[in-house]
Amino acid sequence: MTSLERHASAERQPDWQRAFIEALTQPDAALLGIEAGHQQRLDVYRNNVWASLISALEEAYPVTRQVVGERFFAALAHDHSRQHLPRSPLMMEYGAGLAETLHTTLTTLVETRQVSAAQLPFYAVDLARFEAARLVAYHAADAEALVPTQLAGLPPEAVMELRFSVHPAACLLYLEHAVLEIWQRHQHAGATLEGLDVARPERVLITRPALEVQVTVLCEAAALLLELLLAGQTLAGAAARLADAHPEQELGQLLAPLLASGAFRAPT
Amino acid sequence: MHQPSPSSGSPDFGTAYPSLDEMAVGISLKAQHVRELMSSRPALGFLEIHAENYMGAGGAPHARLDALQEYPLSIHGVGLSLASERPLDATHLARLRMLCERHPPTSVSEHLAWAGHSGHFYNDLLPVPLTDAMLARVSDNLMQLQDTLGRQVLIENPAHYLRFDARELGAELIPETHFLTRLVERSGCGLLIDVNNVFVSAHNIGIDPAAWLESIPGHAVGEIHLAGHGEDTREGLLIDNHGAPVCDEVWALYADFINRIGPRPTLIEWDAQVPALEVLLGQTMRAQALLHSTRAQQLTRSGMEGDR
Repeated sequence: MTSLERHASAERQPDWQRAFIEALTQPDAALLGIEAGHQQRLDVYRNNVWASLISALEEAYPVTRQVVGERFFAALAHDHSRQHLPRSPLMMEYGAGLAETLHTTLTTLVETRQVSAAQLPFYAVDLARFEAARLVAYHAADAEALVPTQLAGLPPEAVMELRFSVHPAACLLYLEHAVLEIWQRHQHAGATLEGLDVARPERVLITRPALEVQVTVLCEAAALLLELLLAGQTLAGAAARLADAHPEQELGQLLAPLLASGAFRAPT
Repeated sequence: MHQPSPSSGSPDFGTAYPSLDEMAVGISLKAQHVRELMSSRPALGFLEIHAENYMGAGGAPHARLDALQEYPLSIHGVGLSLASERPLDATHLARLRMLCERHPPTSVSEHLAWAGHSGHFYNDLLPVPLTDAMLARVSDNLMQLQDTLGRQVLIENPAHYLRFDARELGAELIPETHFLTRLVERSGCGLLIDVNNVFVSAHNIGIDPAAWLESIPGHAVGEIHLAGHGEDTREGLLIDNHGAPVCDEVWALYADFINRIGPRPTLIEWDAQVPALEVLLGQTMRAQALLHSTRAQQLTRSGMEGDR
């Protein structure tokens, strides 16, 4: 090898992996440094990469996939994986933004007048957000949840001055559709949405006090209370705001399901 | 750049940590088998996990490992990109160290491959031309990894699907077994030999699998993987899909290999279309039988030498 060739290869080598990546995204691209007769075999890697990303999304969104149909989901996952490659080797985190891609896809279908909004399952966008939130809770850090009995020994004034710390797995979602019931119905084969008011807005609290992810549907007032407490308000402060917004509601009744669901972390 | 230092300077992590028993046979741990493993507690030499699947903050995956901690654990990384042209991802390296602290493993391994580039991860083991420059790169990365974990790491031979063109690359290509041998000498790593990958690669790129295994230094081998593969009929390629029973040819190569180098901890690797636990246990029994017969032959041989 001449010194000139050596220089050229030193120049070329650091970019070879970038060139490989570029070849992955182009079906018929040839890549320097691969035997002429083996160029088509890059397809093995093209197939492995994209198929594995699509299958990761299928695993993460089983119910969304059922609802939109396997073929539509495969096309969606294909588009999503090409627009959003994983940012880390933690595949459990992959696909967090699928709901946005789905929303864009459905909106585009409506805007290009291919189909009317009423014919499309826009509720699947909420469903995807819900499935993503469940996965985050599933992998969230472990922590002991605050249980109501831990408050029982405190004088009422002390309880009112508490600032609750949020459990690492807890998450409050505002959804425009009745997602929990849609999700529950699809845990069994042959699910239909018959008799369900899909367009009923829902506020769901996702928690994981132990290993199982739990979902609690909250009324508007309870969701507001939770939001205030998650923002670091004392119970007294939250109660004052609540009295303005929902004077008919009783604080203790709103707080009970939040405590029971494990939304807060036990004091350490 | 580190100079090759085969005998004197190469780090020796071998004795500082426990290693898997040479007769141990293990399986890949799958979520769907956990309940049955916990109730039936089959006699398995170890459980192997993909490191990245256990890098979440908490929850069921970690609880699973805690519940099964009586089994020696092998942590098998797929995402560190040891053969990347770029430096190792410090964040990912730190995650791997934390995982090893949380669930102390008996063995740690990674691949002679890359899977990420420029902040993106491709979720596959991508191929790498084996050049002198790459040897230095992987060796440096491995030493950094071993220093970070304070232990020896085994490196696995990947499955190959295509041949490189040395002239076009403008660099000499090193035969894979030489590359692995020199990597052991330079970095003090051990080897994880995937016999199915050898078989698949031999078919795909035209090498002799027996000769390939013959030129692997036995002392460096810390673990063996056995898996099944599929076929891409269009291209006439074998695909390492970990989705089938180990084929007869691979069993035969394995038997010859351990007959030469001695028994080694062996994993039945099955990651796609995962069957019932009893199917995996059936495969482990076959591996166990071969390990026992190898051990018996060794004893006979040494006995005969003793008689002489």
